Amino acid sequence: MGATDEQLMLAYAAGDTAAFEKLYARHKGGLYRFLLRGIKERGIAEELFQEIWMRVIEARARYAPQARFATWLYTIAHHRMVDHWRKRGLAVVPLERDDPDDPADWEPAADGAREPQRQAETKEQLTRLAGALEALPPPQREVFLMREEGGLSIAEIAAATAANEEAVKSRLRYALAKLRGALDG
Amino acid sequence: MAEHEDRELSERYRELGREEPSQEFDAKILAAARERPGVRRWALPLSIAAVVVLSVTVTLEVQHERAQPDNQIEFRRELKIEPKTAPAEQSAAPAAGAPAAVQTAPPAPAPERRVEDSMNTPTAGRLSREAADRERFERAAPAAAEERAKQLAAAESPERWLERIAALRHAGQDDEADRLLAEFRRRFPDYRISEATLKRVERR
Repeated sequence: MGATDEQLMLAYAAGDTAAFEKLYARHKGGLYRFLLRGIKERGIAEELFQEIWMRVIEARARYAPQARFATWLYTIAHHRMVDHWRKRGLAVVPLERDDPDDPADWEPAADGAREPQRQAETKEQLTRLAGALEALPPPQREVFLMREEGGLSIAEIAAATAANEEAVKSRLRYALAKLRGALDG
Repeated sequence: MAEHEDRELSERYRELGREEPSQEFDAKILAAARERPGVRRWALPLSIAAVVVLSVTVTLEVQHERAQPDNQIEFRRELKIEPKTAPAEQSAAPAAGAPAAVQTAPPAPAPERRVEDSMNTPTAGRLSREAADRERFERAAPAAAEERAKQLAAAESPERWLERIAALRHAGQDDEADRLLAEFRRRFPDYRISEATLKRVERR
């Protein structure tokens, strides 16, 4: 059994750069896709990707495994994404937006999601799924991506996004419903 | 919990693609990870250079500091050979019956004053202190034994000088005591000899 993320990070803090390489290999793909699909602009996503890892590197001496490494990593990512949204003039969606009655949340995600239900080809399904994901409100998309790419639990997502668990559950529930709806056509 | 999971959806999601960062990003990040936080690339060479400069400076300084006492020691060692020719010793030696105090009277006067004096002598050119000291010593070496004795005696304190004269006087070596007393007065014209001491050093 290999070392845990936390053990690797502590080893790296002690000077073992090989430990960081393992840690990076474990999480680089998930974080990269989380940003790529969360930001939707490759250039910015890549910029944030580098910034986040630099933060990890810089903070290694202060790292204390109070939570899973992944939670810490995605907390940093969340903060960077929020900063990005603010720069773009996009306010973080308030919890009210998670209200199922809010039409904004139920606005059709993408044109692909409205296509005829008969289309069974995987490609089309995936196209709709990608469109639906892109159309999700950022907080819902973020929660879904943290779950899928980071493997974070509800509690960990709540910690990473500074939200309560109920809000996270609500966002995730709506995200899944929308994506499922797009998948089913 | 099930309402927050959708395995089929997760599987479909994974089919969207597994993009990875480019090797260029990997290289940049891993290179950054190998650097110590807050330490620049030039910090190591700079610190090595600083240590080398400091070491050389300290070494040269220590060598310079050592050179001075060595010269003085060497100077004293050379001078210690000479006291046999010092007038006080010369005259004391034949006196077989002289008191032990006189027999064991300290040999050649300590050269401190002489050395210090010689240090103050201007030297031509950029001679090092060591070279200057050696030059002075070598210049003094060919001098007559008597002259050397005078030099050595000159380095002795007036009090010590008077004690030596008193010892000679006590040993009955009046001629030598007279000679030294005359030399004393020539060398220390301003020195006021107390009455008590005067009784001990003057011929009765």
